[in-house]
Amino acid sequence: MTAVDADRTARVLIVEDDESMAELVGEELADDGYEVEVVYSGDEALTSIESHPPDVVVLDINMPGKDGIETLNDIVSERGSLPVILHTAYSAYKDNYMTWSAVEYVVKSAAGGFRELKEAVAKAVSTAE
Amino acid sequence: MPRNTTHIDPADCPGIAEAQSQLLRLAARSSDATWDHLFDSIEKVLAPLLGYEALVPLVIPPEPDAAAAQRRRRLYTRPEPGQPFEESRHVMSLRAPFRDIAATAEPRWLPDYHAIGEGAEHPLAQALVYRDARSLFVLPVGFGPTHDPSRDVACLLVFYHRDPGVEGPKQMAAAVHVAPLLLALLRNVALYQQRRHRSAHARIIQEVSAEVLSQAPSVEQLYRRVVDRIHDRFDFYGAAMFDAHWGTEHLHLVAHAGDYDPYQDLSYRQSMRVGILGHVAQTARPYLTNDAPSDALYHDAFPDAPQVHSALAVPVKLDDGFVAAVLEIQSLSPGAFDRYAVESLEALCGLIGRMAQSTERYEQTHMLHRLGQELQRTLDLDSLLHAVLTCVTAGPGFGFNNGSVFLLDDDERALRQHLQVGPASGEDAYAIWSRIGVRTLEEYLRDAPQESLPGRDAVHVADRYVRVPVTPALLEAACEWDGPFIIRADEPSENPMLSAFAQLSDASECVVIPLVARNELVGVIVADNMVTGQPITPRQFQSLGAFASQAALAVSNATAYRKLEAAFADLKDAQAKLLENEKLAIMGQMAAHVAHEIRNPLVNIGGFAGRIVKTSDDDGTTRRAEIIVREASRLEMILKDVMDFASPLSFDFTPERLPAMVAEMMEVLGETAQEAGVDIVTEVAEDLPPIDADAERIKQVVLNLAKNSVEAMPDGGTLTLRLWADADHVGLDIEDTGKGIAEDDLERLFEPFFTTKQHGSGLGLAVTKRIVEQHGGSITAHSELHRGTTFRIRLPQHFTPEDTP
Repeated sequence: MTAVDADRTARVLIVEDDESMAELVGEELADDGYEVEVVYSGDEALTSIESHPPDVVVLDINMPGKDGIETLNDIVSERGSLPVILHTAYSAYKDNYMTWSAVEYVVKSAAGGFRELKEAVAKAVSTAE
Repeated sequence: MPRNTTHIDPADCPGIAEAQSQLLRLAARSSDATWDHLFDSIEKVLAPLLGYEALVPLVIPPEPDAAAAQRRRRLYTRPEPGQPFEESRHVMSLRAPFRDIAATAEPRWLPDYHAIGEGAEHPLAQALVYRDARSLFVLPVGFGPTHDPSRDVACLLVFYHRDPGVEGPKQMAAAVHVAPLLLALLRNVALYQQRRHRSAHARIIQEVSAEVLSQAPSVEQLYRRVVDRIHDRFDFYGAAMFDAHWGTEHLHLVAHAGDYDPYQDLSYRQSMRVGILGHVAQTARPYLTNDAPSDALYHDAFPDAPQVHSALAVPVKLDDGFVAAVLEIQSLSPGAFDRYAVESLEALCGLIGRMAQSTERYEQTHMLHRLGQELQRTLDLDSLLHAVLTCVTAGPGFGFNNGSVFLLDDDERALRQHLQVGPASGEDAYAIWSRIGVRTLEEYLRDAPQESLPGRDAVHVADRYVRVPVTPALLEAACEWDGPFIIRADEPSENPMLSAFAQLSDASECVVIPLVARNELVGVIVADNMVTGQPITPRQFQSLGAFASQAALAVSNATAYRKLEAAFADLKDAQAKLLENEKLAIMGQMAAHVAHEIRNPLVNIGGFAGRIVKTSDDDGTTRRAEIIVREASRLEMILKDVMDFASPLSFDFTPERLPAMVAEMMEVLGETAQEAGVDIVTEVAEDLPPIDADAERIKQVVLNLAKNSVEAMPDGGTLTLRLWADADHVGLDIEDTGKGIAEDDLERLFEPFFTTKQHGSGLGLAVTKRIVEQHGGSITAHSELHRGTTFRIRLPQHFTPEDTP
């Protein structure tokens, strides 16, 4: 059902300050067979990555404290190869995401049961292998 | 010696000495004598001497034209006391026996007159019968071989007595004896009369000159003063001045004084082809008739004017011999005008001509001044050109038949015809000119705007737009021109520009007036006398130079103003756009903020509803949750459109191939189209060049339009995508066979937030248009209700984004 390895399920780390959004996205990705971990801030994300490196990070941009872009920069400097998908309500920055070293920029949308996000995650997982 | 007086000594006649001395006394006082006075005196002296009762004098006045004097030997007699002068009663030709008496210059005694030879109707016979005359004694004075009818007065003195057979021979000898004295008396009176006449003329001419020299404000006023003065001073029956309109070959009454009926209406006009006025205008020489009723030339034009007996018409000529007007004076008396009248009137008319000319110059100066005012009044190029051509063509202006103005095109490659004023054809011309009548320049200028309305005859806004190509070298040469040129059809100019203008004119010669302002040729006026075919007169030519430079400056100003206006309009547009962009930028920031704040809860709502759909076992709940999912998804779409429209788009231009983009989007759309039963047809022209474009944006445009088209065909149909190219653009027509768009809606189609769909944001086409325009292209829509709609996009092959404002 998912783009997983033969021996293990792909891990997705969701970084999202909006708790209901985090729950929703977590459930949707879990439905697709991913192992999902949810954190609510950039700092938590870095700690989590340190202890349990995920295969893909789904990262919100607009967060209190360390925002998504700072977090992204930290992740890239720690683990350059880890694919990060920016998942945000802002459509305006879409043109700039390449310069931020994210693999994809997905504007939050529930359409088609988060079809766009799921496609982006699946693509990131398969290229990361 | 007369045959029946040979042997009688006049000294035997009693009273002869007394009579002689009385006549001599009369001669001494004759300097202020009138004919009436003279004949009264002669009657008083001679009738008793002869033993006769009274006298009927028959006078032949001197006739300036000797030939005419021979032809019309008319005698004038005095009315009976208390009776008016009547031609039928008081003017007569000579008949026997009186003709013989005049011819032989011999006195005759007719002891028993019965009007035998005369016929009872002859005026003299009637006069004599009226007086009951039976014995006549006829004394010819001034006749004979020395009589010069062009200078000399002559008369027949007819003495009568009511009794027949009153004695004669002795008295006759006495009468013959005093005849030379009588002749001297007659000549004296005639001479004094002439001198009085001439000095009166001279005095009046002096007066009139003094008046006209005080610079009449207009030619018309000058004419009015002249006729008023002549009428007052000479006491003629009437004096009138006619303006010569060579264009229509008519003489227009401009001033009149007197009682003559036809002239009471100042709109009176007369053809130049008839009458003495026409004759004078055509020959430029005076014409005198002292016997108007029997003068065919006079009679021609005035068949109903029997009361006028003498008429004199004199041309008013300008320096160049051009007959500008004709002065006419009339008298009820026959033989009222002599050669001195002709001479004086000629002198006066010469003076009037000169005055008219200088007044005309003054009027032209006034016209220039008036034009100047007109220029200050309007900066509107069309009104200005109209005023300029009105001055060129109006009678009180330069009076050309036809005028046309050409202006230099912006690219300075051609002089283009802007306006033409003149009749379309010769037939038109006479109709228009006679309708317009006599007007002042002011009236022409005032009426000009109405005349210019389409369908009005006198004026044509040039519809042919004739262009005369020019080169920089020709233009440079033209700046040196310092005045107008007359170019004749048979002598083409060496300058190709001038000869090109000359060729446009149908007349045998035309005048080309360069409009040079600030050392640059701004345009050209071409004028001619196409209709009348008259040569261009010095009168038309003078002042054109001054006029042209003033007109040129005005045209140059108006053109500059027009350009300035256009630039100002552009500036205003740009400012409005700038303001719009600024507003959009603020709106964009606001929208982005709102969108972000809305999107999170919206995604939560839609997302959790999706969870419910996935996990609920209850059909009712699932169905309701599905509705939430659908509506949330729709809101998301609207949000996306708003964001697209509100945020500044950035573009990445690379050479792209339109067919590939279209094919890709049709693949995306394929399933939706199939579901709706829509066939997609793609027609691609061969060898379509690539275009500079942002592929993602153009794909968005194609998809957007194609999706709209599919939605317009809910019951199926055909979607045709036609790709084509012209010189430097590539185009895409997206054509559906759907329900079509109402005309009112079509106009507003690209406005933001305008939608005909139930669930649209109204931004799709606005965004589409913006993307196309930011590619330097254009989009148009054409629709027919129930037939379908076609959107046409035109994109330039080569485009760099800096080109857009």
